[in-house]
Amino acid sequence: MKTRIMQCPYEEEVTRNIQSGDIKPHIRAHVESCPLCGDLLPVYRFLDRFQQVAGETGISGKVLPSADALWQAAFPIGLFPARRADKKLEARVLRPIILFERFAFGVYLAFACLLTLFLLANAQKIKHFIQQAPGLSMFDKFLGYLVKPVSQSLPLPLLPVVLICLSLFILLVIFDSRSQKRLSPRSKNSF
Amino acid sequence: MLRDAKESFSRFYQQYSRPLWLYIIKICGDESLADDIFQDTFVKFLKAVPGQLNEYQQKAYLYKIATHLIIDLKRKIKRLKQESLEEHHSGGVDATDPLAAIDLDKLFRLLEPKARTLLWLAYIEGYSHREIQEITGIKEKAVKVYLFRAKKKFAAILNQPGSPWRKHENQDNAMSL
Repeated sequence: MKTRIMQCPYEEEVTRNIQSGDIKPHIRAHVESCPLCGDLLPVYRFLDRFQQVAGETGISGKVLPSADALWQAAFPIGLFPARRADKKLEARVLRPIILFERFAFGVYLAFACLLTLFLLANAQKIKHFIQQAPGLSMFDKFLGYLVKPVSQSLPLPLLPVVLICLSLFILLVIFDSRSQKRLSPRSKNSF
Repeated sequence: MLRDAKESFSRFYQQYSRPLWLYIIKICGDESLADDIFQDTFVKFLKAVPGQLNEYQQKAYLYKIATHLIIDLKRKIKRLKQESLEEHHSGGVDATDPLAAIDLDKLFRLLEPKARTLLWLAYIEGYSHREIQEITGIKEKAVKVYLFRAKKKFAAILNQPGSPWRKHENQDNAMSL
């Protein structure tokens, strides 16, 4: 037979009243009429008394192991400091990789800046060269057609600059997310 | 950092060790087993507690470990075909006769361990059904069912004419008068 589950909407209020020891008249009336809360009252009173008695008798005289002893049991022979040593070792091993990554990023940044300056300084020459070259002039026309709205406000040589900036931004985002991942705490233990 | 972690644990232990021991002893029954479970609970807790939990969640996590250790232990005992933990502790209290239980402890042990666990977590520790699900692994809906049954059964035991609890309450009332 399936048990019909009933949960009295007043249960929380009844519990609060019993906990406080001051049962209001309307709650008392409800407890007397509601079979669920009627069950709750003796059970709660018993548990409260039970906990009180257990606290007075059993637990007060009980000698529990010290926090230090449990700490030692959890991390024997300095396991916890060893974990830290592992982390230090990990950081030492990863240092060359991190340094190289930073160096590569710096080189890329410097090269991108130089290229940008070069393109800006030689914008006219490049445009002239593109228009002169037979294959490239087609490409120029095609590109011009594609980016006509942009090219009206932006000189064509600036496009590579925009592309470089965009790739730089993407690289920066990737680099940042990777370093975030590396710096995130590996240990999940708070103690 | 190590000292901070140790001090933080000491404070946590100071606050929750005794309520936890009380919970374990009242659910599992046997004192020596309770001691083992208590120690194992804290060792496991120290090794595995996730760092992002607040104190309340850490307490729930502690109870979760303890509850699972009690369940594991009972399974092991069952598998070894030893005496059930219930009989082992209660000295053969006849669960069908509540009047045989002469004190509150024995009266509480007339309930199954699962019912005891749920009643303890709900009405002593004050956990919600959802939190009990987290601690015990029993689904929220099932928690409601079991709790309802446990409450009903235990209330019937307590309210039975001649029940030790009734005598106990009558004594208390007489003393207060």
